[in-house]
Amino acid sequence: MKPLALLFALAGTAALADTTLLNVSYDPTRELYQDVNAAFAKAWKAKTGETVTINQSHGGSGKQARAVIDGLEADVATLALGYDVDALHQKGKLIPADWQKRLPNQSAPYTSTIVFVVRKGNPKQIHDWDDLLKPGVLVVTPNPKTSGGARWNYLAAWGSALRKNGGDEAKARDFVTQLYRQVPILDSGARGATTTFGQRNIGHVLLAWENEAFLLTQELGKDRFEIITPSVSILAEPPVTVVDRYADKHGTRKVAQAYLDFLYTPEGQAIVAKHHFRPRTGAQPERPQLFTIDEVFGGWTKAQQTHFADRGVFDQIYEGGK
Amino acid sequence: MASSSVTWAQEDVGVVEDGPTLEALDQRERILERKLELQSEAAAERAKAAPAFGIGPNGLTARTADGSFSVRVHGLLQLDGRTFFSAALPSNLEVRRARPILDATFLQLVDVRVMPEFGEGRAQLFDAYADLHPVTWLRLRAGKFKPPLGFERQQTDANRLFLEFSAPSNLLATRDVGVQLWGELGDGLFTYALGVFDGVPDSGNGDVDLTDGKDVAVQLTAQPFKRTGVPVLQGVGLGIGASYGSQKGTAAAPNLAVYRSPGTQAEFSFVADAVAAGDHSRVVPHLRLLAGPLEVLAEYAYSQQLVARGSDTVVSANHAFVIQAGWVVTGEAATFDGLVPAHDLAPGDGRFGAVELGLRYEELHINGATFAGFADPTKSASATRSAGAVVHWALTQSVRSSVSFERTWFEGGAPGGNRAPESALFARLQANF
Repeated sequence: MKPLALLFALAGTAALADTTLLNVSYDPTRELYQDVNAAFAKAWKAKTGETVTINQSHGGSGKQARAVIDGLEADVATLALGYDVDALHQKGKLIPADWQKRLPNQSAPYTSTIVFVVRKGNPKQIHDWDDLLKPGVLVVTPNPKTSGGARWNYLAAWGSALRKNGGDEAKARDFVTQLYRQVPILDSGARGATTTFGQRNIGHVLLAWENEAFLLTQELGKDRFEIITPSVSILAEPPVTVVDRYADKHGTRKVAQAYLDFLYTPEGQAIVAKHHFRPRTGAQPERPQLFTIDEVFGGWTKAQQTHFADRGVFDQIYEGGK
Repeated sequence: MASSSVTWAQEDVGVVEDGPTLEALDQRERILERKLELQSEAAAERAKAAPAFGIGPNGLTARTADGSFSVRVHGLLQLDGRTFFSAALPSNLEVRRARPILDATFLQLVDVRVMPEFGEGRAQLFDAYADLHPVTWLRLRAGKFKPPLGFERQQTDANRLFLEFSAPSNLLATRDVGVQLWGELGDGLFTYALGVFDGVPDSGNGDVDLTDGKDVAVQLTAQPFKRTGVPVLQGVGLGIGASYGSQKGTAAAPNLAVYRSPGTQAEFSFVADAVAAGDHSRVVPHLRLLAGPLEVLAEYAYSQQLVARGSDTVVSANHAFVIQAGWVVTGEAATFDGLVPAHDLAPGDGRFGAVELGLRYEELHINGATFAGFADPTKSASATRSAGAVVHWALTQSVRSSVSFERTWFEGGAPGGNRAPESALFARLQANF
């Protein structure tokens, strides 16, 4: 073979070589993306002939965002909060400012909400947010300073109190203050809180992502837990994005984009539903009534600044309770 | 934050008028256990993220949690006692080498070494280089370091079989400033190095180059039988290096070599007004063997330098060879990277470290034309022949004591003909950490 022909042959081989993506995500999506990855790899192979391997990294959403900013070379980020994805732009300049406009539904291909998990028989008779403040009820929720899921829990509680009290911020603050007085342990992440409640048998009610609640009941036994859907809760919209700088560095932008597009396909949405996230397509359950973070808190940036920044509302009510 | 909340739970929940309920007590115990568990996990997480510091036979080390950056501070100290039986030379004690060594690695991609030398009254920079190593087969080294010529020269000063360099290494550079590409091919079957250097005289240690002339040096080595199933062949290695350049000197800095005997005494030098005048080339082949406790090295070096004295010039073409063998009598495998005892010295446990014996024979020859006005035959020998023996006792991986005896016979080098033979007994205590 002539050298030039050999060069082209090698180039052709390289074009069909294996591609590897790194999806940096948050705790409760581990099982979801295991299925998504397998399905996408199969679809991509059928479409392009290229073998793609997707590696996953999971942890608290904020910590994962920090890791990417600090150099964890994620091709895609699928985090719990828009705020954490915003940080990839604001602190790392890894993605453009308008990242949320690049995919449908504000780049959130699935949603979830916050529900309660109680022990079988619901011994404390917990049916809605007010029941969490009953004497003797121990509530398990992670630390909103470190866990994206915990922030959703906190805001869901705050928003429900606002709804009930006609928008009275002081009463909402009182409610959340009382609520956190009944939280015995603040785990750093949602998965840790699930362990505290489900495996260590601590507390009477776990505030959890809906999908995490189903996972808990499936893995630890339907005879041990019940899922309680409150009357009102928050619409959690976990966003996804290509991490432009690293995808371009790795030459994986095309496949990374296709990977995220796959989440919006019927097959992707079916996998989403299978894992008890709420797909964007199809009918939605009536309960709970959902409010968005934009409606109640003016968006993630404002909510973060008001509630979770140092010396924010959470620090005040938690320090104040000591 | 988590710890404070436990207190709230104890105070605020699960308490009835008659005291805590059984359930509350159970919850309290579980909460405390979980709290300890989380503290333990947090401590482990912090430990993983914290830089690691260490101290041991390899010196002081520090590295970041992800291993991206590391620093190692170590050193080499050699204390010598010397006795010359037959030459009019004083016996003495001296610090032969004293080297603090700083090694650092950045992003697991760039190695940096800085090594000054303070032995024998010197204060000189020996190594100062950066090594970029994206892949094992392609590395880039720049700075001051050993040019890639000769096997013995490439060994570290702590690990050679004999205490002082052999005759062929006299004909090679000690250190030079330059840049080289180097690497391993075939999983260590072959190595290559190709570099450009300022150029120094034989045995020279360059810091500043005042001329435009540069040396190009190349070396190839192979272990062709490394992957065969024949143990005695697996340790066979061979290599050849060569350099070519143009070096010129001045009356103030002649840029010419001084060759030294195994007793480190000057055995050959050019006359004071001779200077380097151009072409300088070297060829250095070697053959080596490691087989169990046995190590063998045979090395040859040829060096020629155009030399001027006034309007006269001569090609001073000199060559040398050495053949040496070592045997680790305590049974450990011999290596070219130093004697490592299977067990450190612990007399109470019947452990005495490792012992190695070595023998060598070497010759150095200066071409006759050099003595036609460029070297003084009453001061410089035209040939030397040396035979010697050494014994090493490695107390630990880091500490070694050694004794060597070498006798050297000279052709010429004295007003009456041959210089009297030199008999040198050296003892050394070495700490290499």
